[in-house]
Amino acid sequence: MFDSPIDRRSALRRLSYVLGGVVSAPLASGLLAGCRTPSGGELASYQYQTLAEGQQQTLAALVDQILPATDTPGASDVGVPQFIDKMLTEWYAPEERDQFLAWLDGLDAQAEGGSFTGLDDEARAAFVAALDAEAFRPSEPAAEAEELDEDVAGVATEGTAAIQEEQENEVAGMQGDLGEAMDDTTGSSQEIVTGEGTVSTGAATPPPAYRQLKELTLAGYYTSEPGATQELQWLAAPGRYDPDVPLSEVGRAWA
Amino acid sequence: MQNHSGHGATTIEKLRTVHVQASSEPYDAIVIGSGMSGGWAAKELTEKGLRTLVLERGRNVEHGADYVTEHRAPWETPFRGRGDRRAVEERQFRQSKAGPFNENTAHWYVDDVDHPYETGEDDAADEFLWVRGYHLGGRSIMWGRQTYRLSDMDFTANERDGRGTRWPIGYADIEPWYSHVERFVGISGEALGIRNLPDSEFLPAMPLTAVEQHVRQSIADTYNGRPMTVGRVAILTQAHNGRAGCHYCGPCDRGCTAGAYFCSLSSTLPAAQATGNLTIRPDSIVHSLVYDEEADRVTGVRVVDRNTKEEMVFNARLVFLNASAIGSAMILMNTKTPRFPDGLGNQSGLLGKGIMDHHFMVGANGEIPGFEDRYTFGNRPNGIYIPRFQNLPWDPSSNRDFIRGYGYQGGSSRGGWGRGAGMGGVGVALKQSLREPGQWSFSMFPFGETLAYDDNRVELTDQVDQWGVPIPRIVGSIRDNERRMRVAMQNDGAEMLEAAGAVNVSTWEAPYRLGEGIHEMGTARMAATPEEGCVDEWNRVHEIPNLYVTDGAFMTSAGCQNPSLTYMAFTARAVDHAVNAVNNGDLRV
Repeated sequence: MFDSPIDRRSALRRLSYVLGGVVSAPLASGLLAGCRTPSGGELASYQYQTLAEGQQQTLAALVDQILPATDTPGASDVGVPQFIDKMLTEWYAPEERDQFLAWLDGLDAQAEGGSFTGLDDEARAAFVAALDAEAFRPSEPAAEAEELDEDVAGVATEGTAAIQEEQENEVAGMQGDLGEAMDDTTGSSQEIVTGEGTVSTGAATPPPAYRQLKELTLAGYYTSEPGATQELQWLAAPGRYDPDVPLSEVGRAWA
Repeated sequence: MQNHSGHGATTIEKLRTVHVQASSEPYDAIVIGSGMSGGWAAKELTEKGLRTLVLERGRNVEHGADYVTEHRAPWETPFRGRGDRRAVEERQFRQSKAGPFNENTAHWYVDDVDHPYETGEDDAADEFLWVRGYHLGGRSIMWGRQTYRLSDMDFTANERDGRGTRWPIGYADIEPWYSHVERFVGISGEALGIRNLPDSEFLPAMPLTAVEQHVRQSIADTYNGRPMTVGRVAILTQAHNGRAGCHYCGPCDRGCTAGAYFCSLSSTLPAAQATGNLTIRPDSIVHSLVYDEEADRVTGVRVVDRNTKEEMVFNARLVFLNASAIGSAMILMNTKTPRFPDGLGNQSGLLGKGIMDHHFMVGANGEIPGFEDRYTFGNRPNGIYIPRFQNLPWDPSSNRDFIRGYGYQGGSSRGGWGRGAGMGGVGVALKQSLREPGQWSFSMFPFGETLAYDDNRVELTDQVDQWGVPIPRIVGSIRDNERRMRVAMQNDGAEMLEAAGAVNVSTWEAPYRLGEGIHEMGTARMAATPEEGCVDEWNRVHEIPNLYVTDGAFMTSAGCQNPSLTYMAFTARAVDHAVNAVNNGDLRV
């Protein structure tokens, strides 16, 4: 996290600000404990391992249509394609990876002129908007099942963006036994019984590739440093808890 | 140290550990296990002047320095919170089913390949989930920190409805010990003055959100004053006993250098060390106890060094078993003597039987409209609590079609960016919409009491692990009473949400495995006689005057409250009894 002494000092200043005074040495060393982990710049020097060059370009163009640069960076600016390559290489099962890559390779055939990256920005936007509309068509049973998951206790399934720890806090409004429990289903197949009956979800039926792409894009973006700290807000150690603040004072969502 | 920050500077001493070799000179006491209850046994024994050896089966953990993921940012987390799937599938395929397991806490959980256990055969419903942390501090590093007293209603439950063994003590016996440990631990919470959930000694409570205050008022108005309160947690809201107040970063169980939440490493073990009477030996896997038939005493502990696999015996005048409910039962079972051929404390044949937990994985959710302009600052590591309101002995109108009951944890939150993966929309509009928090929602997340069924059990197989310790088989499941309860847990939750004007209210249930609550208990139940249970009213193994079991093994019924506080209180009470017995000459040591 802190590559230079200057970064480290400025972080200490931020900490002493949020803690409302001078930070004692033992406390500060603890608060900065996480900074020992040298993975902050990992994606900057990342070498693609799975995606070929053409696939990289297609993917970068796709993720930038999902989360474009605005007054803050866009998805490809913060390393989302590299993150997706890492997940395809080190996380996905081979058959899941192959399905995703086959879908990616098939996109060009659906694009006018036979090349998605050959489209101008307006046509790319329309193309991705159509993919999105198709994937989230309300009548599709699979879509309903997944949205249900999201509703149900904020339980994340493998299919729906295994929500990172920082989000657990938000989902549950707490840690503790509840927060623990809520995280429980992350990465596991499960059945959820509702008033409507039993819905089977999880790894047995992976979401369509576009949905996978969207989840990975959002996860990669909002857990990146610019995504968490510029687009949204993130504090390592808030120093206090205020249960009721006007949203206008906070401004943006917490990452 | 001066308190500059307003949150309190920490003065937590670094713990010294040593790989002492066995010697003929006995310790006054040996404590097996360094977690929640073992830390308390060590503190109380050493403060009463006993030279005490703490044996921890796992690695040493240095408070602070070894909290390697504390305050790690999302972008520093290699898989961004999703975990190293392949490593987990290979080495932590069971532990990863535990709720608090995630990419930033995985290192606290054991390797399932190195630490195997068997379950019921070909019966997924019998799959016990045994969640463990083998390291100094044990699961006190990983726990959920929710702390509630049991009440008189809980200690009399087995006797009242005839299910389970009678507790030989009552609430009045443990009440002062609850206070004793609470004053040291530091519990934040709100006094309610109700019989079904006695108040603790409280530090200032954490506040409720605007939505939670609204739900609290609605429930009280609709259900004749039914209380909802903020969770009672072993997290400091102000500096306390040399530990700093919470800085609200959120994920406590990565470890807290400030010591704001209670764990052995920040609290009990440093206090024990300060007496000069403490020796801590990590990497010490207990195989069994040494029992002297003639002296009618336990005289020592057989240990296998985790790294060298060297076998050794440590001698002591008193032994406290704090190896967790299943671990302690295994040690007792693995100590077979001519007088106790089925294991120490097993005259009843009940050792290892009747494992309980708290069942959950059901709940209700809804959205609460009307607070769109409100938000929060900081990460409160806590939620709400609704004390059990069913089957209250003094209120026949609360009776249901099951016995015992459940309390609710839960709380309010606004949706985060993760909601975007489940909804349509792309581009600038999507980005703008996720820049705002989502709807306020409220979760009702109940935990229910399980009864003690004797065929929910742990037993030793004839297989041994790499340290020569028998591998256990653990089987268990919930039954009809719990299943009836689970229906009501959902419905009551939904009704309370509807009373608060929630919209899109839904209920849910997911498969629950016994043990998944990480509150496994009851393998060496407390009972008045050796025919009915394993330990006596002082947590002493029946007919063995110098052997105490004070982890969750002693629990005779489970209540529905998170149990760690009760283990701590009974541990302090048991140490007091043991040391009095020594001093009065009742126990020659």
